[in-house]
Amino acid sequence: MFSPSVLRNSLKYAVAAALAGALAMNRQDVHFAWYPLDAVVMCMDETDTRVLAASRVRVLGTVAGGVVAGLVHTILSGWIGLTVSLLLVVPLLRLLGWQSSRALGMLVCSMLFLASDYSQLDWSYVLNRILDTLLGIGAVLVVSYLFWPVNRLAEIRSLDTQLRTTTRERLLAIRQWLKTNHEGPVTAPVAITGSRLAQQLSQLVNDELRSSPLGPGHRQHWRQRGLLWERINHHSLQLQRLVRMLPQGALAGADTPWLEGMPEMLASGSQAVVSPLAKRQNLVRLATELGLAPLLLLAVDDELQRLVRSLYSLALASRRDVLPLPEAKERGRKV
Amino acid sequence: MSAKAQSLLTRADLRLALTAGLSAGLVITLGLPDPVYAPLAVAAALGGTVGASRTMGIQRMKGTLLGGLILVILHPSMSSVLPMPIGVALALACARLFGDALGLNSGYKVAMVVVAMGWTAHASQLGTWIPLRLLVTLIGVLLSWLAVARFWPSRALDQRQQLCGRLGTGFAEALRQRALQLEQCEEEPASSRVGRRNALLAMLFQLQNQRPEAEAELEGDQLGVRLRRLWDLQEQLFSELIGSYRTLLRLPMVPMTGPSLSGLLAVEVAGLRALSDWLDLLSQQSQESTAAWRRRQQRAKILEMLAALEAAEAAVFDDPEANAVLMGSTGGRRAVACQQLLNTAIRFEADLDAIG
Repeated sequence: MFSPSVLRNSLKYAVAAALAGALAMNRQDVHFAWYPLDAVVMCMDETDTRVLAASRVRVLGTVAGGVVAGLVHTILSGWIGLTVSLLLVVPLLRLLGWQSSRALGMLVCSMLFLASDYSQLDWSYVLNRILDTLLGIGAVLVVSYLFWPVNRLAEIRSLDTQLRTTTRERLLAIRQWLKTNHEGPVTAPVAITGSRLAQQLSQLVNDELRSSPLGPGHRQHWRQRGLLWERINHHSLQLQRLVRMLPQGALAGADTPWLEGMPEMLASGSQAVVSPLAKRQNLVRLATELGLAPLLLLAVDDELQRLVRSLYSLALASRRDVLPLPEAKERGRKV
Repeated sequence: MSAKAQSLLTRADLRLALTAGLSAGLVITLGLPDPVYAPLAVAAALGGTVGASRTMGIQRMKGTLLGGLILVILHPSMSSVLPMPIGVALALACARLFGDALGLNSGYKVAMVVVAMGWTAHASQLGTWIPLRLLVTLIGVLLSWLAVARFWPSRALDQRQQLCGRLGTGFAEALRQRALQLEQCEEEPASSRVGRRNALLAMLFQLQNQRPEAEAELEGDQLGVRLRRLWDLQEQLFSELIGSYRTLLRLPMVPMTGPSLSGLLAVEVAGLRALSDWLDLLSQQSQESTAAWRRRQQRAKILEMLAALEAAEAAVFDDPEANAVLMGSTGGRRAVACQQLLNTAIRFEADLDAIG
């Protein structure tokens, strides 16, 4: 009924909330326990990979919201004071690039101005409420780091697998279009999935290499692999579009060993090598025999060469994945 | 985008701050307790556009309901036997679990805030607090919707149209510049080529990310169906353009000597310019009948260019000297890239005609 990731996230919330609640009870009056609890709810990020960056912004947003509300409070009160502080806080957070903490900043402002015990509002009250909120953010950080450490590499590997599947399907569709004569349905090019995956992959790889420049991300050549995936995605897509400018089954009768093994190059850990590409002169002859546009076949050849080169480099760069390293085995079990 | 980020106070900021503040004022004037929930509802429900606000407002209401339900069931039975942190933790976990099961994407966070506040601050008066909380949230959600739909309208549909226009002119400019460089045989440094391409790609991603918001503003009627189809076509057009533009950028500048090769180059350049003009016409999006007529003229010109390109390609094959260039690794690829670009425009026009 519930997926493992939802169960895991629920557990994360529960542990962080229990921690924040316990700290709040220890610190002072339970009456203010909602500040840390709300902070836990708002800050818990379920995509683990960027917890630290997100938390820093949230801390700053909370402090900014509290300080502005405290300042405005010295001249204005009630909902008018709230409106004025929001007019200051919202653009301020945007200008500083802290938009993700906007909800939290607005929460702190609203709570301070509209709280029932408004008469108590002074700087020490403001400071204490900011500290309450930071307590919640702290609990989120502790839970995110101690209990569920960041595992970017697992996410990177899963993106790699998705890219492999997408590209393999594309290469199969290309082969099918060129080699099958009957008018069966052939998958049309889907542009954006691949580029999006490739972009996510390079972003994660950047994060990973920034946090551990010489770690496994570096040893497994992920920077190069990210670039290669981006290239492979582009060339395979262009190849598919070029191929679809040819009539379906255009090369059905021709001998094209370079086309046959292409999708297999993407099988994980495969050492498959495709046959050398045809000579361009022969391609022109083939085009004339079959009545196809020779330049089009030459263009197909150009994209193919680039694609195959990148696929080959990718296979080389991914070799470490299949080596029986004890470390790789260990990690494989965890994932 | 950078120009936008620099401006001190944007309309969206102003709308959010004023709506949130005024919602608190309204709730206070109505004499309802706990006015604090109105600005919180506004903060969560007021998206950048009508479509986004509708989706988020519905999530917010559902989340409040779920939170109230969890409180009513769990609080009386658990608060006396369990210490507060444990009880709240269990209730929050329930909110996350059931929120997911009920399909709440952001709404479960609202449910959790309701649980946290209800458990700690309003435990003694849950019976009155939950209905009031629903009412105040509803006021916040409705005010957000009014603000974004009526007072300061901001429709994702309009934004989408503007973005499409910017993408069209962006591609027109980029292709025109490439045509000029080809003509003068001058190569731009790789970094600025990549920068130009990435800027266009980022805009395309933005267009796609914005789509759910725009779809939320569509009705299920004939017009809605037609617009969805049009957006598919636009996204397809731009993604094909970016692919072939990238190919165009990577191909080396080879000196085009000899009559047949320089003839081919001239047709390529003219074709790219015709496509740029077509893109400019496409992004003007004016409803006048002359605009449609001019685009039809431009389509005819692109078709002419395609025919000229084919003729020029055939001439190159008849020229033995030029043939040697074609046998080089990227020989002739640019002509085909131009052909791809022009075909993209023709196909777009044909598909557009098909949807009426």
